[in-house]
This record gives sequence, structure tokens and C-alpha cells, in this order.
Amino acid sequence: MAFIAELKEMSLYFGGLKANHQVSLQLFPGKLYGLIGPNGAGKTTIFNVLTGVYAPSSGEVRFLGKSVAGLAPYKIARLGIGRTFQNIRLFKQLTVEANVMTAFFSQGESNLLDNLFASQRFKREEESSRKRAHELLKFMGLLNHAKDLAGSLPYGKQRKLEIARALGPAPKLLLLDEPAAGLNPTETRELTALIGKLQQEKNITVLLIEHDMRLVMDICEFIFVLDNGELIAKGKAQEIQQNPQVIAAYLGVDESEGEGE
Amino acid sequence: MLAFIAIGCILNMLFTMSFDVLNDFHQISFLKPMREQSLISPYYYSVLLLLGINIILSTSLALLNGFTGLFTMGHAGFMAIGAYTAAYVVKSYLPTAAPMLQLFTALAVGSLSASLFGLCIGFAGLRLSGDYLGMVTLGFSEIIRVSLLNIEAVGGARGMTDIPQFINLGMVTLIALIVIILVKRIRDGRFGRAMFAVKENEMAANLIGINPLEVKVRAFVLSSALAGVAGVCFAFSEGYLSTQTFTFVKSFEIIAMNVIGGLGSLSGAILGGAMLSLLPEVLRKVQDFTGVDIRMVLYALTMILIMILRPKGLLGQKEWKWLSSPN
Ligand SMILES: Nc1ncnc2c1ncn2[C@@H]1O[C@H](COP(=O)(O)OP(=O)(O)O)[C@@H](O)[C@H]1O
Ligand SMILES: [Mg+2]
Repeated sequence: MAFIAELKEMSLYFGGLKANHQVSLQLFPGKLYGLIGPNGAGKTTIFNVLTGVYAPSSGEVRFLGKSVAGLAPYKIARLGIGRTFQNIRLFKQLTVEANVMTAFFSQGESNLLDNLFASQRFKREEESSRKRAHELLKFMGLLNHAKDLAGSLPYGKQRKLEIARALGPAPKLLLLDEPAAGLNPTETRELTALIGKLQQEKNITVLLIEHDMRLVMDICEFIFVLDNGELIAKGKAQEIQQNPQVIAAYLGVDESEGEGE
Repeated sequence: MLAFIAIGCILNMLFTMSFDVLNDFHQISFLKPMREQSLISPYYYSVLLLLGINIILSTSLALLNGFTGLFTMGHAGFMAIGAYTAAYVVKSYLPTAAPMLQLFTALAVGSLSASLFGLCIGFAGLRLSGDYLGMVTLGFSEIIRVSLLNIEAVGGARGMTDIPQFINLGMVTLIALIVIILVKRIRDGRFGRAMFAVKENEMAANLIGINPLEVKVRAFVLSSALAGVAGVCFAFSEGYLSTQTFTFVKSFEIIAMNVIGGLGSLSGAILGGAMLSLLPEVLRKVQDFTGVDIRMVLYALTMILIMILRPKGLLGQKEWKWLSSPN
């Protein structure tokens, strides 16, 4: 089967800093992938390249067989890549349901005149997007917060809301950037279960950045390890755990920076 | 406060319209100028007229500054375009047409011409952000004003005179209400949500498939069209246009209305518009009473005081019930 997404010798340099160097990886549809590595290894940068935030300095970025390197982020999003952020980026002044509804924007068919005259088409569309938002919120266990302001949610629920919003445009590939960061163990377990459920029920390919090794080892079928911008290992969980290069990279971090964030 | 303003508006609309509407409805007489025939004094009539126009301006700016987070400083420019273009077209091509036709032509021409400028400025200025966009819009509006000052066809430095006065207080009130409803509809729909999304986190909006540039240009076009409508109301109620009305001071006044009321709140824009229209008149009474020329000092002091006591504006992000948002 064909890859859903592929990086081919992709490099991204910030001046002299090699945030990503010659990274090649392939993602097959319907699988759950982990992306791990010490702080500053270039994990988030890979997400930024995949979603069009940065154009790669060299190399190829393909999604669904199409080159998407340097395409505007909203265009890539419309092609079917959704993501969440390491530091939460919700629309805090909007309600929880409205946050999810913003994600339906690109699918909207009513135009400005429909809106100004409150036409039937406009009303129908509003109603159906509210309903769809509620379905996603229910899936993420947030339905009882639908009318709350996003900014008023507790941290753990904000993380979930970000996932719900990312699911809005019905992505084929979902990129989760440290979704369990800042969560307590109970919340982490809940989220882990949810990610598994999401990936199975919605048949989405998921690429997950995570510091919580247990979480990654538990749910990811295949793991990529990044260090200093370079891909140093890839494989199944057990293979990765025993890889001397990976152990070295992680030990190095533990000595100098402690547990990370 | 709102109830007070609303009832005031409605009463005055009734007062200024009722008799003629009953007497000769077939002539659509509520289009006649009725400053003199009104039941309220010409002074209060003028104050309320300005209040209506200011509310339109403030509400339209809320689309840009409040909802989309675009800091612009040239709203008076859009108003000027609407006012001058509509006045020129009606005076030149429809001087003797029925008032109703004149009215609709004026509104169409005024809003379209202003939105066309909004579109241009949108595309030219939107690659910039923050203070730079503010400077560009300020520059644009000054260019518009100085150009109008030098176009003889619209009166040049003498100003434009003898504009038919077919818009009265009742009509302005009606238009202001319609503008409020339209802006509310936009805010509550998918375009409004996209605007707030772009304002709050442009990157996140971009990454869920919203093209920020498209949203901003839409906001510009809509906002400038409504500013054009305010210009039309002004031109055809005053009957006289001078570029002096449309300096950057006016633009700042409109921004102040948004800020005083609560940036991002539609109710706030209305309240702020009302406040800054009525405040100088209230202070005029104070001045008459005390006999000391301290009106503008008090005006500035009041604004400073409000910003100290309510740094997020009088209403903050809140909305009145009838304008509450589902989002
Ligand atoms: N916009 C940027 N400009 C300059 N340097 C950056 C930028 N974004 C990331 N970097 C640098 O690139 C490296 C990789 O960052 P990142 O991908 O965020 O790491 P992480 O693996 O922790 O997510 C870091 O050294 C970081 O400082
Ligand atoms: Mg990171």
C-alpha cells in the first residue's frame, strides 16, 4: 500500500542551526506512529514542515502522493492534515463548541449574502455544523462543556478540545504534539485510551510526539527517534528500547536537563 | 442605559415620522427632511442624528478592530468615500428622482464605492500587521481626504453643497438598527467565528483550513461598506460635505468608541458610540451651567477615567442579552 505521507531527505535550517537534517520517513495509512527524542531534537519542526508552517530548506514533503513542501498551511489542512500544538492554541474567547465549528469553515458552502440575509441554506448549515461539533465533543467527552468558554476549561480538557478541533476538517493524518504534557497520570491514561479509540474508529493515521515513554511504548505501533535534528532510529517499541543509540541520546538528556517538560 | 437609548431612538423615530406617515403615506414622506417639523428641538434632533451615524460607524469598525483584531486608523476615509461618491452620483444623475430611488441609489453607491476601497486597502495593507497596518490605513484615509479636497467636481475646498436632504432621524435610526443586526449576523455565523479565530490565534486558524488573508479581506470589505453607509446617512441628512469632517481625528474618535465600550463586543461598540456622541453635549450643559470653558478638558478626563476604572472598556467582552452571541 502507498504511503499517506513521506519525508525524503528533508532538511530545515535556521541559519546555522540544523533543526532537521536529512530526515526521511514514511507513514502508512491507518497506523499509530510515535516520534520521540530529547528536547530540541527537532520533533515539532517536523510537524511544522508537514503542516506548511515552514518550507523545508531541502528535500521532499509528500502527502497523498502530492508534494506539499512550502504550500500554505490552510491548503495543507484542507488536503487532510490536522494537528495540535505543544503549547495549547485555542480560541479562548469562543465557546468550546464554536472552537470546533471554526474547523468546519473550509467546508462551508453558504456565502456572505446567505449570512447577511440569514437564508435557509445558512441556517441549515449552522445547525448541521453545531450538531457535528457536538458529536466530536461527545467523542472527546467534552459535550457538557459545549457552551463554556474554551479559556475557562481546565488544562487537561483544553488539550482534548484541541484534538476535537483538529478532527473538525476530518483529517486523514493527525499530528499530536505532546498531547499528554502537563496532564496528571489519570488524565494521561484517559487520553491514551482516547487516542487509540480515535485512531481505530475514525481510521486516521496518527503521528504522536510524546515525552511520556510509557504512553508511546503502549500505543504506538512504530516509533521514530530523533536526536539533534537527525533520525537516529526507527522500529517497533522493543527494538527501540534496546537500541544503544537511543539509550545514549536519552541518557545524555537526563544528565543535563533532567526530565524535560 | 441601553433601554434608555433604545427607547429614546424609537420615540424620536415615531415623533419625527408619525404625523406625515399618517397624513400622506403615498408620498413616502418619512424621507423628507424634518429637522424643522420634528417634535423635538433642532438641537436634540442634530445630536440624535449624529448618535445614529456614530453607532453605525462604531459598529462597522467593530468588525475590523473588535472581531478580527485588525488595528486600522482610517475609518473616516471609508466614510468619506461613501458620502462623496453617493452625493456626487445622486446630485449629478438623479437630481429630480423620487426620494426612494435616490435613497436606494445613494446606499448602493455609497456602500459599494467604500467597499471597493476597502478591498484595495485590504489587499495592499494586509500583508502588514499590528501598528504597520494602522499606519497604512491612516495614510490611505489621508490620501483620500486630500484628493477629495482637490477634486473640483465635488466642491474642492469649498465643500459639496445642496445635497438633497432625504434622510431624516427616523431613517438613520432604522438604518442603524439594520446595520447592528447585519453585524450581529456576521459575528454569529461561520465568517464571524473565523474572524475571532484569526484574531485570537492566526496560526491555529491557518492550520485548521482558514485562510487568514481571505477572512481579513472580507472583514475589510464589509466594514468599509458599512462605513460608506454611515457616510451616506451623513451626506443626505446634513446636505453639506466638507473634507474637514473626515480627518484622522474622526477615525480616532471611532476607535475610541470601540475601546471605551469594550473592544470585541458589539454591544460595547454601540454603547461607546452613544457615549462619545452624547458626552460632549452633556458636558456642554455643564459648561453652560458653570460658565467655565472646560468642556474638552472634562471630555478627555472622562475618557481617561473610564480607561483607568474599566481598562477593558465599559462592557469588556460582554454583550447585552439581545445581542448575545451563540459562539
Ligand atoms: N523559528 C525558529 N527559529 C530558530 N530556531 C528554531 C525555530 N524553531 C525551532 N528552532 C530550533 O530548532 C531546534 C528544534 O526545535 P523543535 O523542533 O521545537 O524541538 P523539539 O524536538 O523539542 O520539538 C531547537 O534548537 C529550536 O531552538
Ligand atoms: Mg516540541
